[in-house]
Amino acid sequence: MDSLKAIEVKNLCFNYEKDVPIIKNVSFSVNKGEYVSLIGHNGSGKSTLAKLIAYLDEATSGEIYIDGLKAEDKNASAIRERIGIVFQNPDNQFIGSTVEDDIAFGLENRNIERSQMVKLVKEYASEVGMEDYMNKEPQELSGGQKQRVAIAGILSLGLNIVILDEATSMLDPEGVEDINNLIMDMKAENHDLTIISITHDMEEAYLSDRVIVLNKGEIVEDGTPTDVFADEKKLHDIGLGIPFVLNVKNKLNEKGIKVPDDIKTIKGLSEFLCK
Amino acid sequence: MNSNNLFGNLTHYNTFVHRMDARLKLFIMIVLMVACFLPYGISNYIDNSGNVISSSYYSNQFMVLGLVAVVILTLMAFAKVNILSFIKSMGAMWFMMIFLLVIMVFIPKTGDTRIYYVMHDFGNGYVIFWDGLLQCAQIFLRLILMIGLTMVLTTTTPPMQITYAFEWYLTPLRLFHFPTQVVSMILSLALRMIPTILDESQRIMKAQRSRGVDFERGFVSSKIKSIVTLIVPLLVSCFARSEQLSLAMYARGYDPYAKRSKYRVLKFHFLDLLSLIGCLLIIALFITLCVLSQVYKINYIEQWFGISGAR
Amino acid sequence: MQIKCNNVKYLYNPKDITDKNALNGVSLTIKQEEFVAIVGKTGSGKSTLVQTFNGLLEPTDGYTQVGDFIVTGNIKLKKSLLKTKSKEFIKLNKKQSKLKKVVGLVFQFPEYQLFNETILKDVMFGPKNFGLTNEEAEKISRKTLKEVGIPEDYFDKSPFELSGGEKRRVGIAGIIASQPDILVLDEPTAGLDTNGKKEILDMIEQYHKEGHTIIVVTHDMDLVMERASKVFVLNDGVVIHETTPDKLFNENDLSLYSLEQPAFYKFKKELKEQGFAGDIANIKDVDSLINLIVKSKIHGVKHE
Repeated sequence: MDSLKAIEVKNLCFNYEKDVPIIKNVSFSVNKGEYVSLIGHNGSGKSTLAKLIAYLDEATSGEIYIDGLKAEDKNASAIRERIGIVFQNPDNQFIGSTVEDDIAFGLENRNIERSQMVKLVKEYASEVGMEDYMNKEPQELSGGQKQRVAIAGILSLGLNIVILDEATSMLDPEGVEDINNLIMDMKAENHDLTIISITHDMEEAYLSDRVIVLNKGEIVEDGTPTDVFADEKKLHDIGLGIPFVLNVKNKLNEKGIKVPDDIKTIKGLSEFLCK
Repeated sequence: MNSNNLFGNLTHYNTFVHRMDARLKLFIMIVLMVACFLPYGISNYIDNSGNVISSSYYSNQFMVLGLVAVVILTLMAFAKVNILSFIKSMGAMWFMMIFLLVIMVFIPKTGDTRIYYVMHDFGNGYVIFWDGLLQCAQIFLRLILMIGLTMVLTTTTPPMQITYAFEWYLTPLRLFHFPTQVVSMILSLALRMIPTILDESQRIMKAQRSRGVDFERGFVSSKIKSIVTLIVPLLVSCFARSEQLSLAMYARGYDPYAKRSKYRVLKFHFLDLLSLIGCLLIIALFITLCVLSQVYKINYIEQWFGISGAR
Repeated sequence: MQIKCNNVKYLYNPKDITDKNALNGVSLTIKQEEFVAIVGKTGSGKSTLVQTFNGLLEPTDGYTQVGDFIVTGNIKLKKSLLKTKSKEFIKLNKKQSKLKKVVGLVFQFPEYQLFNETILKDVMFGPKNFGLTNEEAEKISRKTLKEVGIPEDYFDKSPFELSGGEKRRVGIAGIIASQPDILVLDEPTAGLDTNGKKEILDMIEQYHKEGHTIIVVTHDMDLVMERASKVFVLNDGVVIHETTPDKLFNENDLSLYSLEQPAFYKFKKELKEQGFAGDIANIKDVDSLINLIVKSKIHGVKHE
């Protein structure tokens, strides 16, 4: 197996209760250090795909390789040591009774020696900015803070592949910005960190390395954001919007003003237009 | 709402009781409760020759129980238990006690009634005895002491600590393949979830109120209908929650039967050792009093103060 | 029927004056058939405020008046307000049970309030509580369910068989079926995808067109920009700004209100800052802006 590939998915199929196909013959791969956005309408199978990749569920057929390891029973715990997932609901993934207990949960599962645990918990609580909240209980925290704790839990395990399953869709704007900034920081600090982000936020998808579009269980697009978002109509037909900046660029293009592909922010676009 | 408020009365003083290891507190509580219920003397009885042997059972019991009470009250004082909350927590009991009192005094006694002390003879064969009243008073005293002991535990110990203590006591059961670590995980998850689920129930009630449900007024039948509008959505969400929680736990490598290290440890300090010894001495004393009184058939109040049993 | 808040104050714990969710004296007026948005950061008191509109919460001081209903927890104040009123007025305010029918409040994630055996029964629940007969309730429920896009063959299904988006529509239908004069929604688009948002908003707009007042509490600035005609900004329990969405987003510094500008207005602001030499201020949609940019490029207008 190619050691550069963090994730390899081949002909993956998943049927719910024997005959309802949720994932239909999906194949793709993700390189180490890539930031991939997975987009699709509600019900397209994004979350199911995420769970399959994280090996939380068995595929009906097809193969998945995480860091070269085949996703099968004998590799289950090895896979857990490589890939982590942050879910959508901040409350329903907060296991411990306090912040420090929750970060320690994953470490306890690995039977890590106590003094080492105490060190790691403190270190990663600081990494995500929660060092002053160590003994706070979940109901005292905002959604954004709880998600930060979830991320700390994953980081403390030293995982290099992280799946974000709509990790910000239940947060208020402050929380969304909070988590997005945290992820950007994480990526900057660790170039080997591979991120798969399931999202409805087209702006976020636009800024990622790659976009995979899922529709009714099948991959309909897989490429750079520029390529994927080029066909606005196609995306619209399957229930997706396109990023604002791209929308403006497309319209300008129709009227004869070409904007370079690498301009992706509002600021960049304004600068270009006012030259 | 904090999980510390589960029992509603956690205080934040720094008494030695607060600082005491939760396992020891649990032990002391149970041990002192036992001391409340031990017999310390003998009651009236009829001997082989048909004579009524009279003793000072009640006064003796109250005397020794009084000693137990002194120990417990001292402990409560050390733990700075609030007298007002103490009295409040007995609220529901008063009604029950009066009910019990009436029953025990006025229901006619069976068996040879010569062993009882007559309170009043109504003349028509119906007699009431002091024993009913005194027995009731004894029950009452024991209940109060138990409540006081429990309060010592709940006002000085966060619920999480109590679950850790429970878990520790359950460890020997592992020898019998009892999954104690699973039970303690369930307990701590439940505790962690209580405030979250409480919040959710408030939200659901508000939503249903906005649809015209009245949770307060109405007869039993409409109250039941109202509760259904709360319970069903709550249950459904609880199931969804547990599914998501277990997935998250699984994703983080949780295996209920694998060996796991522990982040939280209860530490036994030197002060705790002293308290343990003190407690053992006290319970040894009370057990001795109990055993001796039963073996030698004596009531201490007669031995120590010469108060005779004859009435 | 209009809503008037007069110095509404609310403390969850009267002994704690630093209570975050308190209302510290909100005064505002929402007129009949307006489509109003109430915005502000988390903790500003938005949700608490709208719960005084349907009587779920009573202000600890000040009062909210909805039509002839007076909602307040201050008994002295209530007495003095009712003194000069007619008998019917006083009677109306004795029980206030009708207020919850007149003001329909849809909480965040309404899909979590479903409990009945079938979707139809669940939607009928509200109307029946407010006095409709079985037949009347069924009629209006069927109509409402159709309007929110739930197919008829779903009516006898259990609500728990539906998808999240469908459940939400059923939840909202459950409130609309009682035909409230004023519909209040707390974060109706939370957690939905682009299509889902549009469906819900179209639904709400349809109800608006039928002659009802709409009040939306939201963080979604696109919603405010596209649908609302008036916006109240709340902060620390008081109304700090009352304006139209366009005026609000054209302002220079929205961080004062802890709000995020919609992308369109961010773009206009950036263009201005980069020295764009065109009259941007009055442009209210993307296409007009594009035309303006193109025009200025063609005519070679120099930007600073």
